[in-house]
Amino acid sequence: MSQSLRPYLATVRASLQAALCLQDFSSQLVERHNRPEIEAQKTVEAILNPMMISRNENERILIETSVNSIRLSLKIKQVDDIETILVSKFTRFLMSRAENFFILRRVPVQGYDISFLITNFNTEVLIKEKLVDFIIEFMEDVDKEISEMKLFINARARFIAEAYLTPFD
Amino acid sequence: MEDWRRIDIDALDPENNLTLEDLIPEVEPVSQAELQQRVTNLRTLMSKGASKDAISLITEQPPYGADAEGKEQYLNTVIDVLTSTKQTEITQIVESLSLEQQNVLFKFLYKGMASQKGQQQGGVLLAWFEKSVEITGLGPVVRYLSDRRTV
Repeated sequence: MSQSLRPYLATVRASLQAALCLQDFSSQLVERHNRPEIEAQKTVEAILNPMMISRNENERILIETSVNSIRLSLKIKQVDDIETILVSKFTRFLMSRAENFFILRRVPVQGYDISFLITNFNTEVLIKEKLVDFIIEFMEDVDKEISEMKLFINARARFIAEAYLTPFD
Repeated sequence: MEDWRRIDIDALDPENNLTLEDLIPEVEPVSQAELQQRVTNLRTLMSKGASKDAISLITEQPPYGADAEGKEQYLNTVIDVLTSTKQTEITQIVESLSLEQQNVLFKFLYKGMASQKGQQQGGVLLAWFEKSVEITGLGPVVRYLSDRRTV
């Protein structure tokens, strides 16, 4: 693991462990409703301070916490146009299958690439430590995946160029 | 008398009209001149290389009452102090802080990571955070989340 990645992941882990302390909370505005307060944004006293953790200008995570839900948004590293396209395709692929994914949000928060929404109902069923592990693993893997895909595209482009140009050799 | 059955009593309950301002506890206002004085103090300490004193000064009296612009300016100085501190000294400095001071330190770290300047220095703040959280545990993180007084 690279030198700057370890403190980044350690910070995210600590912040998530602190933030993932959720309890059931019925809506204060509508009777018999139970909404993720961080999405509703209507009850100010139920929303806590947001945490933004950034590794550099292009890579950061925003954790917004409320009494019964947290929303974490990821900005994945994109240094050139190929990576931008790859990231948008990759996250779109995941987000269009959000139903099977429980904690994935269907649309990312403005300014970020992918968002997760974890409510108290998720933490009741899923183990908190495993959830944190999953997020950390996702953050590690997504970078690896994107750079792998980029290499693959470049390799394929080279191969195709060679194949097309052999007749003129 | 008017039709009292039609009065919306929920609207009269002050608990139902809480705004963000009501939630922020009373803090002492900090004037621009005072803040400037502190920044100068910090700069002198930093140039002397006394990071430990600088950090304890920062965390001793957080500028809760300053306006947004003043806070921004103060934060920039704090980030400078944090970056000028040697990595090997961090553990020792954090250990010497009181509980209240540790809370303030975490507030600055989070605020720093959210700012433009802090993002350019991302690695330094992350190192600070990682080393501090090993000593303090998750307590200051939770207290950062729930404290409405911001630095």
